[in-house]
Amino acid sequence: MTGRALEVNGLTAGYGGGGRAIEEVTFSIPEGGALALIGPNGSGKSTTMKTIAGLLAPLAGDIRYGGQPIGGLAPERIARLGVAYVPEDRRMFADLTVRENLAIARRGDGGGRWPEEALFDLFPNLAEIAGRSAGATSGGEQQMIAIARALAGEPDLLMLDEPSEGLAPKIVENLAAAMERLRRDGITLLISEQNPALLGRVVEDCVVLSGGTIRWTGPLAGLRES
Amino acid sequence: MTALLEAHGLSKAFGGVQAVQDVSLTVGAGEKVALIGPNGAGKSTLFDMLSGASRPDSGKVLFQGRDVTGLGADRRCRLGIGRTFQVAPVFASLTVRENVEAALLTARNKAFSPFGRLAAESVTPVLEEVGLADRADRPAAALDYANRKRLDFALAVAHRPALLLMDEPTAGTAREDRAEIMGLVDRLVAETGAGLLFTEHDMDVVFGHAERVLVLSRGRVIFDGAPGAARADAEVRAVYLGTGGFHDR
Amino acid sequence: MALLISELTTILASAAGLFLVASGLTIVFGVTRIVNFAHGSFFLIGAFMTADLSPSIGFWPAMVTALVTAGFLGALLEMALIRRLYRAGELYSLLATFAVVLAVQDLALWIWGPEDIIGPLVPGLDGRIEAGGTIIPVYDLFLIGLAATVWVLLWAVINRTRFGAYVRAATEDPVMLSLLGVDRRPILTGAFMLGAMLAALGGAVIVPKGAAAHGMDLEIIAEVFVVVVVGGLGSISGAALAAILVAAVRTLAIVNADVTIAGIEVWQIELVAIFVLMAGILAVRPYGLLGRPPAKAEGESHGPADPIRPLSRNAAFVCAGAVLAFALLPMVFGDYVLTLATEAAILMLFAASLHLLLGVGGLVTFGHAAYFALGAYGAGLATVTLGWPFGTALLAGMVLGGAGGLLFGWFCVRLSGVYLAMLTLAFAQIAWAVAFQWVAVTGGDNGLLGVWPPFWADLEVFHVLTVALVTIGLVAIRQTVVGPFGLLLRAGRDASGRAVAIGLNVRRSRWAAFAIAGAMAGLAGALYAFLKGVATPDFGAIPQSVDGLVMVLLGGVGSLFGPMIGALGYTVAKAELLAITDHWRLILGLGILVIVIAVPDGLFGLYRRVRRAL
Repeated sequence: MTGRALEVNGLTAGYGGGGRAIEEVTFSIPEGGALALIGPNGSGKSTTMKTIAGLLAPLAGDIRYGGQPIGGLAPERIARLGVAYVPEDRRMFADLTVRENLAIARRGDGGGRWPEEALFDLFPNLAEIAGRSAGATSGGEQQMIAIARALAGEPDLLMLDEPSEGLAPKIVENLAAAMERLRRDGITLLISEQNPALLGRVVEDCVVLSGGTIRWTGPLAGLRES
Repeated sequence: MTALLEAHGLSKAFGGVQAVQDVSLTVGAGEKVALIGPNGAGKSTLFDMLSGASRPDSGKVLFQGRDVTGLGADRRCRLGIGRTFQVAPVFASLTVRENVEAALLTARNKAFSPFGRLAAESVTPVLEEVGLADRADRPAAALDYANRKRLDFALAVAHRPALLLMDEPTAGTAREDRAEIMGLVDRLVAETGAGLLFTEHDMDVVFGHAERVLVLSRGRVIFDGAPGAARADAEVRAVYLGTGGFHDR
Repeated sequence: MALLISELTTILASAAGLFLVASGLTIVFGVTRIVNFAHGSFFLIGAFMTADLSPSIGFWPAMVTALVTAGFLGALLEMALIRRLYRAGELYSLLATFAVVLAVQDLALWIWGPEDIIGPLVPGLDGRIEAGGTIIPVYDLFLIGLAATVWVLLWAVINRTRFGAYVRAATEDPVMLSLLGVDRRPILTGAFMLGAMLAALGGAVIVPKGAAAHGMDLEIIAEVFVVVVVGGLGSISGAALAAILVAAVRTLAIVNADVTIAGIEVWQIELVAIFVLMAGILAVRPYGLLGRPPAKAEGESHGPADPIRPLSRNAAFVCAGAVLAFALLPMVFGDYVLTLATEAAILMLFAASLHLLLGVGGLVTFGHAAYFALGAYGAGLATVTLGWPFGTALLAGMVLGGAGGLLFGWFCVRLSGVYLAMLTLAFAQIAWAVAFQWVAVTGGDNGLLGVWPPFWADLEVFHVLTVALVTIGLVAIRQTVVGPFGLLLRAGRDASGRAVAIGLNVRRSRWAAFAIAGAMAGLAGALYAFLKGVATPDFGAIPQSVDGLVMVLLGGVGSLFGPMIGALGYTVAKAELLAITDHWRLILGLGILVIVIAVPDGLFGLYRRVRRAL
């Protein structure tokens, strides 16, 4: 594979105590592609993403991004390679304002694709609440801040963990539109998601996880049939 | 005839967000009830209020007709409510046998006694029931996840509770283990006539074991009835089961 | 009006010094989650360097030199040591930073000599001005202005700079920060450096009001702990608020020193009042005035303890043999060895009682000396003041220690982690302050003298008696641990939410553990008082608490025998060290660091690992 593709090969990882939360997980996303991780809670979707992001060290297997092995690197190094992870609980810096949350993720001189105006263009609500402290925003706004904050670091691969969880349908609609736009901009997406409507609009392929192992891999349309 | 567990108008808010709003429910003796709903719907908050881990802002919880709203989880346990946890925390530095022994000791009001540890034989039956007898003398820290789930279950039922609250009994376990865990649960309910309330994301487990389904959405009960009816209910499909056929495998 | 202005100035000037030091400590805690004892050392360095250099190069250059030195040392310390402690848990980080305090104390003695250095005059600020009908020292106004300036500057740095935004973000969620591609290490080093400079600044500007004295490090750190805990760990404004509160209590106590409340003159309760203020505020607001409950911990690196197995027949014989051999020492050895052996036996009981809370209950207590001191004073007062017989006096010590455990424990079981450690420390300081200041009853600094056992109990008899009582105490503690109560106490330590759900009242179980541990430490303290013939405030001071912790850690926190081995080894080693070197603090400090970093599971853990490997 060429370009900034993500290749995950035989990945096994777990939390303390020797347990394995995922085992032998293998998939890949080409540059600009989009893949969904599907499966019940505890099936290993978050663990997969956390391991790619560097929060967990792989017990076995291999993660390559753009051909370069990244498994076991420190999270900040992986982030600087262009891999952004938006965790399930969004993890706002609640005491910082929305604007500060976005600014803190920025690196270098700011001459990238996602200056503040571009982020506000993607999520127009954020311009109105830019001065508010992030802790005082709603769940939907926090999800947008979290995604915008990840984009501020100019990633090429964006991992979104349950982005529509607990959000009103209308907000999910906005999110879906934003993700479509990100795809048009060439950003590679890895999403764990339960909402079929959102998935149908954003991804083509999916990986079904259960009990930490892959049960099915293929196009989203094929999943509905099988 | 009062139900085993009754909740009346439970509400709880966290920092201005209404997590659970005016929820009422009942669980009868020998009845198996599933509590389902999207993440963030308030299931955990509701569960905590029923088990005594937290207090409601308003509303009442009655157990066997007695108001237990003001009692902590330890008191409720001793009155006959057993509970399992989603991540199956166990007492890692005790042996498997000692874990269960600890549960039996509190049930016998020996928690503050310096003497009177239980003989191994009085713990063994519980271990055999959940299939952990051969691991009795290992530290609980050495158990794998599926066995930790079994031990968590043993801790909840060691004192033969009249009501069993289970938070995601099959979360994180392989499909093969799920049937076995739920088999244990079914057997206990059949034998002791205990009531069961459980949350679950695996719809096979829900529809395979529950006699009644409660659907929670945004802190409110939007459905309370038979599993078949839940599957057909338009609102339940809209907020939880979805229309894409994902959960109808 | 004049009185009010004068008192207000005094309060604010005193608060200013406290705030300068406290703000550094609270920033360091906010970012690193480490409560840094060594903050007191930077304060001491700031004071000594300024006082020492001022006569030759002038006050201001001296102060700047001190600040730069402290900043450099702070950065060095963070990179060399503190960095290894971020995931080690509060017990290890508190002990390791205390080890730095010990080492710096010795280095300070070596560099600046044992004498205090009188504070310099500050050119231009040594006058007084008249305002509102009263005379105010200019220097007080300077201190207030300086603190206010620092407050504003810190606010600006924290709220208006990129570094500040990183600091705030790291305080809230360091993991998320690294997910955004930010390397945490320079931020942590920077924050630590800033903290060290603030401590040194505090030392530099306080020293002109008095002198640079050895011992000022622990004195200030105890006070500043109170300030940051009352204000809320991590909150700068909270530190300012709490500094004013503490300064107000102290100033009022000094101004009204002669006033008598319930038969006690106010000056005798100044320190007590400060710590009672802290305990009271924490009982209502466990995380301080402006503090917030800690976010989810990142997880400790130490795995669960091993299960406690019943003693084998052979091990039981070995234990019985060891006790017998210990009891028969008088037949072989002379007074020196005998005194040392008796002391070691007493401290074994002290360490084992601490281990009951620390290892078995999982309750990190940093003030176990409180119960030891209560026991010593209980026995001392019973003997000297009340003239009670020996046995009753021992019992009185034990009861007083247990009562202390009940009282302090009631507050403590409501907290956990570093907040629990800080509260136990505060309670120990209360006990110490009562002993130190309530001269009429306790004899103050000199202590209670003449606490001797009856004539029939000469050194040999007292030794055998001590070994017997200690053995009974140790057996009682072991039964407490292995019996149903201890099993459930351990269950509550491993998973408290799970323990509650099997019907255990976890708080009450921990409370009972505090009472039992207090009583056993009390018995140890009572025996110790009879061994030494005195009960002094030192018995309840921070170093005594730390001694206990070092014993437990040296032996190994994961085993019931660890604390006893540790107590024996530590007592003998300390006695030998004192005999051969003046630099025992430096050596002890380095020893603590070695244990914390290289053998956190202690000698017993090392023994187990070696045996497993073979």
